[in-house]
Amino acid sequence: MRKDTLIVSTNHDDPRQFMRWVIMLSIIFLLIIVTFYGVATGSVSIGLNKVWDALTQNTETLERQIVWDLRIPRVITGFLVGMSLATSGALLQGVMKNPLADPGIIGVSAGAGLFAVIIMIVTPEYIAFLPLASFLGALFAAGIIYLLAWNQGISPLRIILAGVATNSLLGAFMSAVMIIYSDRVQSVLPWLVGGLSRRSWPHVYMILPYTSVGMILAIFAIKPANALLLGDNVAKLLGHQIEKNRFFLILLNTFLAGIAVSVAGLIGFVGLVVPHIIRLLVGNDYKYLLPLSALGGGVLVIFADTAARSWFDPIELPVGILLAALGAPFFLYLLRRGGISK
Amino acid sequence: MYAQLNIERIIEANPQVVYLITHGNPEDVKKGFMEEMKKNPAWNNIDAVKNNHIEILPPHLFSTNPGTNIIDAIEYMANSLKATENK
Repeated sequence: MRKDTLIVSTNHDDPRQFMRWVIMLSIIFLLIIVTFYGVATGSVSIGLNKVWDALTQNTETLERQIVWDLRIPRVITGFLVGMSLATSGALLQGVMKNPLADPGIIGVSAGAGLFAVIIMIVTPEYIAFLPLASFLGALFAAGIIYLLAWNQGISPLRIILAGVATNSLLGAFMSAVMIIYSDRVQSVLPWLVGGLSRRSWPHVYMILPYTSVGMILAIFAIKPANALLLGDNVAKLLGHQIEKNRFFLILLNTFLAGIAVSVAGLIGFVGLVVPHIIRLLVGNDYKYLLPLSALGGGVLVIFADTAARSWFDPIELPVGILLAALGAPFFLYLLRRGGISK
Repeated sequence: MYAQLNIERIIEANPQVVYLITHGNPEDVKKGFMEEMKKNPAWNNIDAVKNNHIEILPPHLFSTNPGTNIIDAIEYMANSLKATENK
């Protein structure tokens, strides 16, 4: 009985099934396109044949440095960051049953931000510990939220409220640090908006193991996330352990958000908008929503970062600005159109 | 304006000296930066990093517009550039 109920949503007679495959293939196709775009584009223009040489020959040329040491690691970092953020957002929206849930709104990113800002402006000597600090900050914030929201179990509403409160509390501390040390604030600004400037291979090696673990765990999150969609009572009747599921999903969400913040700063918007777009296209089933959000997040960040570093030569903008400027109108357009899920 | 220069342009220009403005302890910050730059393949091929020419500027002259002290600031930088050249 329980099996039948769960199978209904993925039934092969479902008219959306064909559409889901089309969308999956389109996203993979887009991923290939933006990867080529990211590797071939930059403020120093390099011809396609030179790009190919730089990829295949290990020589000490300027082209090799730019393509191999700057563009490729940035594309990879962008993909990993986008994937983590979008997956994190999709999971959080499921746990909270709230379409506004985003690591940036419930304070997880603010925790990471506070720790990072303290390192950057109070003790810049220890800048090497920045990723670790922001990760601990995310965990710290999630801990506070969880404790505040705990009352013989966790209700989504209490988490959201505790999260918003935590967000403003940690945000206040962050502003206080920045006001007290206002003469040093310039180095923090690009980080607060979120950017991938100066990211290279060390950052790829740093986050790749964590992202891999996070994405593997995300596979195990599909069933619990789908169960929570049914509502607590139904899920309980079907034999799911609600609290355990919820705890696991929140932990995974924090982990993924912490990874992203540790290399890219406070990039917002990806976790909010990508899962929504995907949801409008393929529906709520996490079996499709989660992997497609992950890929979609990667595509979006690679594209936006390439634009941010090549459209405004000779300076570059933090990718966070571009993401908001490109993503918001597209999101509104999809919202007005209503998606294809009906 | 504190906008960031595009790093591809920096590598293309291959600067001989890199100047840093910091509010931390200059020696520690310099050491930390050198380590970061040597590890980061994006940076470790430019001449300034290869030859250890990373210099720290005093923040009171350079972090904001120094006003009438601008002469001191320019002199400071000129001396520093000369010293680097003679190294």
